[in-house]
Amino acid sequence: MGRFTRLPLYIVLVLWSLICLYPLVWMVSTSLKTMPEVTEDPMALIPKIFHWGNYLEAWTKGNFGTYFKNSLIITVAALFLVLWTTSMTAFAVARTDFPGRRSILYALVITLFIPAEATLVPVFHIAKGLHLLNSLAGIIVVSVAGSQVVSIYLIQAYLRTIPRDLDDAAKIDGCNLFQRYWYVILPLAKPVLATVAILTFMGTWNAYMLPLAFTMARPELRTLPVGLVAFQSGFAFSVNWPLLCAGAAISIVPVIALYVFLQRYFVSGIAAAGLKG
Amino acid sequence: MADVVLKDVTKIFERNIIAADNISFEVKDKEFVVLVGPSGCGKSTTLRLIAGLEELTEGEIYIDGRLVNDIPPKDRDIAMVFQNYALYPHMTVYHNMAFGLKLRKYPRREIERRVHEAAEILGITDLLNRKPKALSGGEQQRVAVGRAIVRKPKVFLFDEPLSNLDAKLRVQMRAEICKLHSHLEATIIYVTHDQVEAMTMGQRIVVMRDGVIQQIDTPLNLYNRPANKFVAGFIGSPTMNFIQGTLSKDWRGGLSFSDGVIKLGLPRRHNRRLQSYVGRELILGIRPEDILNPRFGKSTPETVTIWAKVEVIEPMGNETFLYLNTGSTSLVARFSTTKIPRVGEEMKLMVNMSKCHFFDKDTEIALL
Repeated sequence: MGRFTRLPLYIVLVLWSLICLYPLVWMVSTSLKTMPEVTEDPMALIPKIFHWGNYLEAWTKGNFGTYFKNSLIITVAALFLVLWTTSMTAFAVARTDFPGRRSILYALVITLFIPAEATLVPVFHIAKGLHLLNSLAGIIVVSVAGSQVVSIYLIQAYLRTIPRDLDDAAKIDGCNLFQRYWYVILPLAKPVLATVAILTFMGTWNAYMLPLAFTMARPELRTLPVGLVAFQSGFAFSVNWPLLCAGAAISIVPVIALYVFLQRYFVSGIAAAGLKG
Repeated sequence: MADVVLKDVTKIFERNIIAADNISFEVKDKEFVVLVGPSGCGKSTTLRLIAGLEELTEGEIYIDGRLVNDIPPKDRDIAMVFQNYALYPHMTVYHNMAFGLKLRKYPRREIERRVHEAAEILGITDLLNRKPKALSGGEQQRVAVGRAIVRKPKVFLFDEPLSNLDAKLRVQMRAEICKLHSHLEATIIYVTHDQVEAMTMGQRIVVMRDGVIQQIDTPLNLYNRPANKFVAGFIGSPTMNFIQGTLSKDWRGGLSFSDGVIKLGLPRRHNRRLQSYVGRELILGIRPEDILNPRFGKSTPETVTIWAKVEVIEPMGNETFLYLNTGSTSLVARFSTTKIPRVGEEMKLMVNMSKCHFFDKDTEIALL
């Protein structure tokens, strides 16, 4: 394409980027304003004075510090458990020979068609029976279980692209099954593991329904998204917008950081799994 | 080092595909044996059976006198070089070579010593800190060989290790692997589809087709005394000329072969062996170098003259291939580079019948 034929494309892309970025900028700007300033001119993008204290207030008085800690514990634990369990299952499905491995994969993939909302109530009851309600552990266990299928599917699709001869070479070099997984296949699966890490992180970090349902009785276990909504509805008529926006800004920092850091892997992993992102 | 014995080895894959059918042969200690055949003939499967990468359906495999049927690859004391090298992309050359030793818990100093020794032999010392993707095909191939030799295994298995290299490098590596064989005094089983590789490298060659061994012999015996039409056609380039025809007896008691257009008298000494084929159809095989340019050679009692038209000339530099048509069949002849006829020319040829081969038309088994 020539320079001039590309121009309209660039204009569209820039406009679209502005549309996408505007709410973010507005959020950050509001988080630095005072309440009267927000009511006076809600659309002004540059605050008269930058009230960084809003963040401190949100962290302590708004309980966002606690929510952040809860979100972090759940997300890190889920991330680690998902990567560990799904990479092993995917390895078994994609790189070993046992009867019925295809049926297992198909059975797993079929469950992708069931929306998570549809299973929330049964999951809630099962968790109750297992005494997992009102605990971070319960949220972790259910999040990990919920991430299994997509992650297994993505990883096994990627693992299939690794040449078979590497397994044979490893077998002859003296690897047992676990060593083959650990020393040969896992290091080669880094791109797709990064993809799964991002998807799991985003899914768990932003999850609302599950942590809401699991922390009804114990507000101190709320995660950031649950905390944000609670904070908003706590003052039905006079929402403290600057504090709410400061909380929201706090909640998206890790997501943006992770994405910037792993973007390269994110794209290659999705593409390798045959799902054009 | 050790010998390898295969006894009635059979491998049947899913859907009843027979990859190896009753394979039996013995590789002696320090011997270099080549398994050769067209793709799908079961040669790689046979090698993988020896390595333990495939499970036997039937039969027995012994390495150094020990039955290894149920022994995993890592405990068979073998090393294997793969067609696409199968180097671990995330490890440096050093770690690729050291990996097997590390898994076997060798002391660090011993690993270092062995890796450097192997790198020295293969001339890859400078590459030890590089990753495989930063290496050329030839260098990767050396690393793959290096990974095999650091372990000092009883048997080396090579699975078409040169087929991904360009022609020049292939010739060079061929010589290097042969040198390595005499240097290490190793037992080597080498798989290739390239008959030139097989002929130049193997002390003995196992020719396979459709999972069945066709012949096991030294390179020269395979060339001069092929057991059947397949081996005769597979070994040698350009390939042997085959002419289908009938054997008849003349009034003096001599035998002659005719395909309806050309008639070739046979040396008397073949009479006894071919007597029973008189009046029957069989296949005559003539190597391209046994069709002679009469401008050089004198006729002898064992040469026969035929006429053919020159259709294509392929000058190779040191020799020339002529594609000829006798009116009933096409032939290839290998001539020297001088006194070459022109395309389209009708020329006289001398066929050296003392070197000819005959094959049964139905069984394709050699009759001479």
